[in-house]
Amino acid sequence: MLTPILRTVRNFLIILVVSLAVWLLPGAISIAQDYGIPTVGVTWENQYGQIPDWSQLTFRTLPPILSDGVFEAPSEMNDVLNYDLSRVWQAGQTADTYLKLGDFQTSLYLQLFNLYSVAQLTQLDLEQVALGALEMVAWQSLDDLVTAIPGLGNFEIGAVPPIQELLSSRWTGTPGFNPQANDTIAELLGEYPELGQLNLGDLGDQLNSFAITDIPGLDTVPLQNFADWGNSTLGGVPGLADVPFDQMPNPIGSVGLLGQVDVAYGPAEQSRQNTISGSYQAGFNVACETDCAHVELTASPALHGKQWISGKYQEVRGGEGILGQVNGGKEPTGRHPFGKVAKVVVWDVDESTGTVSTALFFRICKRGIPDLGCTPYFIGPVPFLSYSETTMMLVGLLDGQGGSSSSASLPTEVLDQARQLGIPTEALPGFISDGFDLCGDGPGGVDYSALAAAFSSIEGHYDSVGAYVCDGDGNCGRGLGRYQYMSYRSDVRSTIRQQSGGAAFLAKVDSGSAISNAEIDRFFPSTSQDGIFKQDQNRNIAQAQQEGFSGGRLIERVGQIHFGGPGAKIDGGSSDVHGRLTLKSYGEKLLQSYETALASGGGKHCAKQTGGDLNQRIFQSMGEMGRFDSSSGPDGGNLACAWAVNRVLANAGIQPVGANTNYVPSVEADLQAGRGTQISQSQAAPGDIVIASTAGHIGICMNQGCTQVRSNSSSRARFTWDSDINFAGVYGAGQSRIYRLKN
Amino acid sequence: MSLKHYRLWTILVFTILLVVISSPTVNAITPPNQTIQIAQAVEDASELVIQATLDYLLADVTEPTQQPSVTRTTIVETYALATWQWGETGGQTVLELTNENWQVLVSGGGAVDAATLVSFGVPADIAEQLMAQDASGD
Repeated sequence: MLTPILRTVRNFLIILVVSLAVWLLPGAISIAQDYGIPTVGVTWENQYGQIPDWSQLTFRTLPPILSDGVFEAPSEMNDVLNYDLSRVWQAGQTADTYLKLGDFQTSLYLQLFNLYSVAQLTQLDLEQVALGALEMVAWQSLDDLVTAIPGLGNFEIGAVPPIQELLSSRWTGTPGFNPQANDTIAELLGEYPELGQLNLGDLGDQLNSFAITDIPGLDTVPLQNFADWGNSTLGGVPGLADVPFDQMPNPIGSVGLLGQVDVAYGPAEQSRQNTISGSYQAGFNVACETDCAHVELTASPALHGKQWISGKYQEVRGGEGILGQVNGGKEPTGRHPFGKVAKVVVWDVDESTGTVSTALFFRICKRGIPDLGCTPYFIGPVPFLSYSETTMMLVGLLDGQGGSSSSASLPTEVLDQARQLGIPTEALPGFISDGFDLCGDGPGGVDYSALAAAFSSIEGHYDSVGAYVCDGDGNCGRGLGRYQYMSYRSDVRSTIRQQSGGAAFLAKVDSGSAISNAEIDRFFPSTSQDGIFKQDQNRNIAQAQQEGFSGGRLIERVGQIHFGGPGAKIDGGSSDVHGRLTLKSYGEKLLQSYETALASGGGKHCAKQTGGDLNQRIFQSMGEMGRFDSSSGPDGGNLACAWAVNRVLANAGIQPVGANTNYVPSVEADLQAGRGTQISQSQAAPGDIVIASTAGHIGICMNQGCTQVRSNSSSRARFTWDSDINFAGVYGAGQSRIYRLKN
Repeated sequence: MSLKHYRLWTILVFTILLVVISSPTVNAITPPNQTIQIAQAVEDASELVIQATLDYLLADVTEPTQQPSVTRTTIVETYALATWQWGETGGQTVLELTNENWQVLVSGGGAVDAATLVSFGVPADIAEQLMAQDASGD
């Protein structure tokens, strides 16, 4: 599958260069009226201003777009991706009708919503909402649904009317097919696996004769559980277009500086250098040569004399990845005071009246596998706030990232929401798997390897299968593997689904059928179990620490949380269905086993490979910083490879390397002079530093053996180039040198 | 009109202005053809710096999947700074004119600073000039 995808991506890129995007001259559009964007007054640093009231703003209430446009992707690309990249919008449409969930995958994280939470926020009665109103239902197969909704397979066909209708209408007359209403979905899929390919979309208009609630559990699982969820328009999720922006999984807020509009200058202005406008790719100090309509700001010393150039007249480099080529790789200059959701662009500037209008621009993204990146922000203008001279406008933070920077690649709000929904961190975009397996210490000095061994002594082995049980919330399934993670957990299900035949296996588990050890090995391999385990224990340890536990009691409490869930009563007497252990005795037994494992060596065998604390801190820092913008580095990011590596070190609290921290030979000289030790590739671990044979480039190892390296990309001015250890052979066949930092 | 076109126009306008403003003085002091010779010499030196840089970058490299290109050069007296792009990265090479040949003092990814130049033997005042001219794009 991958090869055709890559081939198609290549063809797509070629076609894109020819340009398939048509942007119908929004520069000719003027924002002639005040659109009444709701605002709220704030006083920051003794400056009073009006900022957007995000509690009153939704995708539906944003003013309609003023310009027509079309982006037409090759049909073969769409077919291979199972994702329609094409987009058409017309003046007058609201954003919910032409933007998709996938466009906001790494900004608002809309995929973390479930229908129930959206309905609660918008007072929607899901019993009254037609199933067809959920756009993504149309492309869900039965296998997709059974995977997305734990326990659905246990329902009798007659209890799920849309599925009953699908089966009866599509399979009537098929020889030997005679389902009974009291057959469960899982039983049927087990007997006729081909039924799993039936698609709800085959029901056509009949979907509107059912309600969302006619499929049990459809409203309680996160949207990202569904196949190709990113392809749904915002309006294709009932209620979503009416959710205020401050209620999103990663809510929009307003931070930073207020700048007073000092003077509004028209397009006759030329040669402006002291700007705060630009793009993520070009930086936010892009000079303007001609047609420099702009707003000159004052108020705070940091903003005095700064110029925000009008994007109606100036375009800058934008976009990332393959989609970055769309619209000629250009977008209007502007800022991002509200993050990546949209770009704020100064639009009309009227010198005679001293007024200025602003507009929002959006972009198209395709993340995941394959990751095609995002187009420039070229979908607009959507009218936004207007200002006059002496009023204050929000410019955000002066952070080199356009106004709304965040050091963490995954916002805290997103992590919290994901945890509440049981979504594993590694399932979120922007997450870097740690690559340490079970080696290394976790929070609180807990030895993962010893902890895993302790759980294993209680729970079982990697191929263990637990009894079929149901919890108090009606979730039924089996404990699977070494840590006996229940089969209805969303992280377990998404992991299993990735295996060939995983969906059918899940249906079998859900049905209560017997499961073999070999099936566990095949569908839930040890590496997957360990990956979930480590993420899970990180959360459990953090909770126990917040509750005040440390040392041996910390381990006991971690065991209780593992056994009884986050709400487990401290030292409680509750037991599971087997009645063998209580919360308290489970914790005590875990501690005893943990100390035994520690005494027998624990994770010490890992020490040589993991590289120790500094490596972990460096790698942790990479995870926190993500694929960060390096345009504020030397030469606008073109010469920022050493700078970027030292930024990762600085974020880890490690002293930068090199007398000149921006130059690879200087960094390497420092490493050779005592800051580091040169090691072989077989010794290499995540966090080690890699230098090209020519000293022409530098990056950081991402895994054991350092077959993956992340480094700065000059063309994208971002710490985002993932390559092999020899940087894809760009610098020839010479072997890169690897260093482990000592201090 | 794109930014690129504006830049080209700006360069053209400034070039014409430079010729108009400087021509009388130059004509008064030196024969006209000497201006051309000086410009040619600078151009030749730049070409030699570029070639020396590329030769150095590729000297011990076998089968590179991409070729480097020198994007700008700065020359002050007998020292030069070449900035290059190579695939996804960029770097700088410092050279000295010795026995009429440009010899590489140091080369690598990322950006040099004046102190780095000095540490490789470039006189401090020349190092400052190289950095200043490189930053201004002169």
